[in-house]
Amino acid sequence: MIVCILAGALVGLLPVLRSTAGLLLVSILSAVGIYRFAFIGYVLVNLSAYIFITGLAWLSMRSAFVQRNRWRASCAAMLALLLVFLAGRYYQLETRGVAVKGLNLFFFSLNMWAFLRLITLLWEFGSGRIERPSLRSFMIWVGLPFTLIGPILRYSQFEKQLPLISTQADEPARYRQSLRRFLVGFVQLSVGMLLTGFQFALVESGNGLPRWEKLVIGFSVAPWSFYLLWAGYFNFMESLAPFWGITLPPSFNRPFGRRNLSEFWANWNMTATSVFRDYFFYNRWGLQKANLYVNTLMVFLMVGLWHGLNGYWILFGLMHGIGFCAYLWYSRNRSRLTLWRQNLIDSQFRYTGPIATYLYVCSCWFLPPTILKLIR
Amino acid sequence: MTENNQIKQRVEETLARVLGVSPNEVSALGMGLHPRWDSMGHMELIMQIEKEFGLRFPTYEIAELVNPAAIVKAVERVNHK
Repeated sequence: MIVCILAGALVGLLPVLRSTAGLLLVSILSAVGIYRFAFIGYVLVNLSAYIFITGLAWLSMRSAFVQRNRWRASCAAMLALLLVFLAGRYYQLETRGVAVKGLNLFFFSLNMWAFLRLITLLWEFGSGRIERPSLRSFMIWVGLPFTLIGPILRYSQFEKQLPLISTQADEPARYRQSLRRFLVGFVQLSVGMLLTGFQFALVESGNGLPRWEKLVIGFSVAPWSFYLLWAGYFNFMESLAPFWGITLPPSFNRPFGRRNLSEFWANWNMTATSVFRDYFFYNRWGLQKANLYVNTLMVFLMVGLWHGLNGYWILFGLMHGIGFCAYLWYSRNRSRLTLWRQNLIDSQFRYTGPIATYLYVCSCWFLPPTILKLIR
Repeated sequence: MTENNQIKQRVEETLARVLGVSPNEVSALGMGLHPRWDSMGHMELIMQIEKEFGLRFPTYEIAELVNPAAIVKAVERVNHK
């Protein structure tokens, strides 16, 4: 966070840095500051993706290499990236350093955000939405301090803003909006940290917590602390990015209290969920005709795997997938009910929907360990 | 009627049927601007358009078909391939 604040302030205060060369310098320094000993690994992973795209762009210039092949090659690269990402998680490659002259260096670094960012790049390039980025703008994009550990700014969104950086950074309206966001982020982060501290104090107070205390943590303290910490962090990033003349898309829009799971996910970690929606839900998965239930389960399985390759996150994804499928089934079959029944259910859901959705979302965080214990 | 106008009319009729609105209202609609055209409804809508024209949109294009004009353009493009 300190690195991001410094990077924002530096470019905001020194107009000389508001050029691609200046931003590149600050981006590299920020990435070094954030990744430290894993910086080499981060560079190697991103460089591999860039070399692949450059090669594909070179092939695309040849007339025989049609768009369909570019898309297929990109899909293969996305699959390879997914396997590398999962293998990295499974074997915990990010934690395996190599001692070089007294320094412990890490030659592999692909966290969840870097993975998703590269997926968006391969998708956009494969679909023809973007052309091969210049090395300089690619490096600024992957080193952008405000997105290094989330949120997602797709390359197409970044590319559009790149020529405007030097002019937009001086607009007073943007700073006013930034200040408001910064204050909101500050309050959210502070409350989130307080709640996290309270949660840890409760957990550490004894091994055998009473069941009611576990329930209080699982259904109130833990979800809110998690949400406020991330929403606060992303609000900070959204408030700092305008110093570079960049606008980040919003990430959280009051997700708790939504009437159903669809609305919850439409407002939770939006930059990431929109990637899963666009790439995995709007898909046929090899079927002749898309099956929305298969798509839903695929999306949430991927969401689970994106968080971690273990039973907890797979179950988390499956629980959300099953819940979402149930809602999907209801939405698709709602019109078959008589008008009277539709109105009855709607009136019930108006009040019970937000509570049921909240409880279900919390259960998906809270119950997987218990279910796994039961299975074992 | 030109081929393009025919495509536009058929797209608007399909959208009107799926969304339950009059064909005249369709041109002002878009994803997120109608309760039935949300992320779930979008996929259903795209499947209906594909069925109507007997075509398949490329996977990477589906997320971008967020309004009638984009759908008409995509149908024309896929038809001409």
